[in-house]
Amino acid sequence: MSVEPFVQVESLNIEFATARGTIKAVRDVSFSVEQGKTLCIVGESGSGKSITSLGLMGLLPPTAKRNATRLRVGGTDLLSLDRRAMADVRGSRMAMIFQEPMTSLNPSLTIGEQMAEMLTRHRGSSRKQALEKAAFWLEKVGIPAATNRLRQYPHHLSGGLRQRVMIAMMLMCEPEFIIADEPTTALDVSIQAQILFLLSSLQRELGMTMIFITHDLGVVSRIADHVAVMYGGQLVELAPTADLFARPQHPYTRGLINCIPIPGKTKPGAHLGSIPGSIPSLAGKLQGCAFAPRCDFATANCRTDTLALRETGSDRAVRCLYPIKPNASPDIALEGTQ
Amino acid sequence: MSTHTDIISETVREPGPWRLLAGRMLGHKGVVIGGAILILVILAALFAPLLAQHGPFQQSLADRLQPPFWMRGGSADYILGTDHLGRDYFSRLLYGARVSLLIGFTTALISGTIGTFLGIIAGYFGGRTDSVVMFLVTIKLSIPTILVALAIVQLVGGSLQTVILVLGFLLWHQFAVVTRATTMQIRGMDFITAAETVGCSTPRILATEVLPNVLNQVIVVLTLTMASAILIEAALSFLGVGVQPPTPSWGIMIAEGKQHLFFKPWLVMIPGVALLLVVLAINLLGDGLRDVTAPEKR
Amino acid sequence: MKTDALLELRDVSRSFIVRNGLFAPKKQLQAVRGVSLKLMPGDVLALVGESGCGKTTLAKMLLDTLPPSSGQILRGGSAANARNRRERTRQLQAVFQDPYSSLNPRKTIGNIVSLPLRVHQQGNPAEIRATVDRIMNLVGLPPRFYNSYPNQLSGGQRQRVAIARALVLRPEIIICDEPTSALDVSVQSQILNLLIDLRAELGLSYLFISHDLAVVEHLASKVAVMYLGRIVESGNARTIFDNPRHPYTRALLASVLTPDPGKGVPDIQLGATFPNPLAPPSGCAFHPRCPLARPECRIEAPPNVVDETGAVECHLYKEPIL
Repeated sequence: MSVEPFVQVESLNIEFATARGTIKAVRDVSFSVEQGKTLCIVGESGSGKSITSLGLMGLLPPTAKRNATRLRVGGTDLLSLDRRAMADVRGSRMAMIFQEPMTSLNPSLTIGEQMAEMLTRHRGSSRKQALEKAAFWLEKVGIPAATNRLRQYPHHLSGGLRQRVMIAMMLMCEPEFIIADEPTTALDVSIQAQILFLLSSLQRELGMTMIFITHDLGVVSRIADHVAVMYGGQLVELAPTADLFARPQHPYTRGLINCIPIPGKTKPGAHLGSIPGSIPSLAGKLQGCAFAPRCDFATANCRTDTLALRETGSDRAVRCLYPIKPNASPDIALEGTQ
Repeated sequence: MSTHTDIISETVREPGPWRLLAGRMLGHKGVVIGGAILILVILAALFAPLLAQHGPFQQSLADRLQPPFWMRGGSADYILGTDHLGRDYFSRLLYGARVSLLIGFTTALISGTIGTFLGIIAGYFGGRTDSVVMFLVTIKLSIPTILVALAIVQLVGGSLQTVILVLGFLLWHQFAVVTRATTMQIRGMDFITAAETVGCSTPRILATEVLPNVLNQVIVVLTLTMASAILIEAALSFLGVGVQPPTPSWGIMIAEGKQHLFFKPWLVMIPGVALLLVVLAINLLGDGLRDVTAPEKR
Repeated sequence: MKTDALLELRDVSRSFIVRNGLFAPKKQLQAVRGVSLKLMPGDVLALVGESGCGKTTLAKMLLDTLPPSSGQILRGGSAANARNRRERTRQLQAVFQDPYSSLNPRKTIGNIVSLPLRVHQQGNPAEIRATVDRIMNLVGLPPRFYNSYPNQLSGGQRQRVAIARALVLRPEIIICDEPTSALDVSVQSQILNLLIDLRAELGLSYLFISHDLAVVEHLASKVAVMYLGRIVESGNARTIFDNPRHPYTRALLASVLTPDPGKGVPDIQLGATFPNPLAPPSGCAFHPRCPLARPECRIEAPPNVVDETGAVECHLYKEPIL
């Protein structure tokens, strides 16, 4: 008997009512994550990746409308929970790390107070116990002089340290599931590497299931077990990491991989691959494939047919009428990398 | 020659910033209603000679203190009745509108120029300039406007020009505060650095890069200052130190009608309602403009 | 003394007075400490470093928006002064990081791009219009955008406008301050390709400031690595990327996460604390985080060792490598 995946999302749709009409930010997104594994959701701006995670966590603003046929995390049906129940699940079993640690941390409370509150609220610890645990976790995430830090305020710390504090705060409750939304994008390169190392080792140590949202394919390749590629609100490709990079099936995925300069592979000074055009607007009537206007292989059908996510192999799915075959030459119509 | 041309995106193109603003203005109830009333008043004032049946200074002692046409004893000859000297009230009302609007506009313009200039240089240069301007603003804020206006106008002697000048120099502080804040926000933006890099002189930058971005706020303060100016002028004229008779001003009309308040209340109510309406319209317009321009801030 | 370099910095420093609260004594923040650099014609010199290293301050000094506290900035061999300001602005232009704040939201694209021409009075309106049209075509902007406003353009298109504005006076040097960091990945490569082409077509030299080392490795011919206000290593791009000498450079390069499935995240042993520019460490500024630190690193500032591969400032290389 196969174990039910820890995270199950089926047909997630999220819409916003705005002055300019309805914006369909997330359209028919489905994926699942096995326990203890990491799924990376990759996309550029407007892809809907952040909104998807907010929708999963029940953190959407009141103007948003969410529906899905299935939304389960750790055996709990999230669709049936009201706001309060959802808040409880969020605090105790799920954790979320955001991009801007300064806005996620309360600037008028000390680090110790905020961290302790997590435990006193969700685990019923006493204040003394909570502070001890807080100091332990600060050390664990590599912050020296932990007991002193507890008395400091967020603005005393640098960006990298604040993010470590965020991680400590989130992991203190030992959640089963963690969503990290671009947690290192605002940080320096060397700090980024350190935070990612910390996050992935802690994830393995605690056996947490993780969804990691990013636009950085390099990061994806290093920490993901599976990858979900999003574009224009749609999920366009799902695959295990190595397969995705070795044999991308969706033209957008391949285009994206070709855009990045890879030291050692791309010829210095030569043109990088590029995808002409720009990100589409999500307002108004949306028909067919979101990527069609920029796709070299698009046909009339691509713009009109409703496309479904089709399975194309073990653990792989793609939303495309003409996915790239495994034996296709790597340089079709895209500016070369060699 | 190689070129890279973007594929023309299929997105719906947004209108430019000025058109967006115009669209939002027309969609806002306050702006439309306030603006419509104001436009009507302006038109009435402009076309006063055509609309009035008699001149505003034409006295007719035989016809004094006649009530408006809807009351007993009124006639179609004097639609809004006459004052104690037999002058047509409707005509005085229209010409009084001219005075109010003139004072409103010019005062707002003068104080707007002073305040915007000071605010922009304070926000752009910071440091000592900022300290000096903020010091001036602090002093200005601690001055009781109406009392000082009263005192100065008493000393110098009341007249249209005096009122305009005095108020122009007393109402600039809000402009300064608002434009200073916006300029400080803009100061850090790259397009200012780009203008410097390109070789623009500082006055040019202030006039062509900073000012257009500050205008939104200035327009809001302009309308609200206009309303203040009109009210203060009415008060000064009521007290006898503003515009001098026989020039029709709503304040003077109220003052002259005061003695007949109980038996001929229309003498006070008509200019009073007119004042109320105009100031209300301007405030509606100003608040609406503030709503409409606020979301454009990035 | 005339040199061949298009742009040269000689021992340039810049410090700021920082007030730490109302009653605390004022402290000095040394943003840039004794930097010397040369940009030769045709170079793409990449200035690499993380936050607090001083590259932004350095860029401001190059653009003349901030004077150096000490040292000289030479353009075309002659020192900067008020008289040749006009000439300098013609020679050196910039493209900034944020495409959303680098264009005046209340002006049309045509107005923005033609501004340099109008400021320097280069031609009558018809000629100016023709130049702007030509440049817009060169950077890939459709002519109909002439009357559009920045809010109607995408991020990539706005960056093209910024590039057009920088090109219109035909400068020799363009300072690119993180020109693609704020753009989406698929748009980044468009802009990078554009910069590569323009350099070839117009014979430009770039001072390219970036934190994205993969992009730097792709574009740069020379690299200078900054840390806490000093250049800790510099030289040919190829040499530095193949054989980084300074421990900080090595750590930086190891932090670059290339798309390599299965490789995992490297453990860069750099320590969690970031140095405080107001109170820089004694001796070598990098020693508290350096995995190879020696006792002398804490006491003595490291010497600048220059050889044919480049320059490196580290005690490890005191003895020349033969």
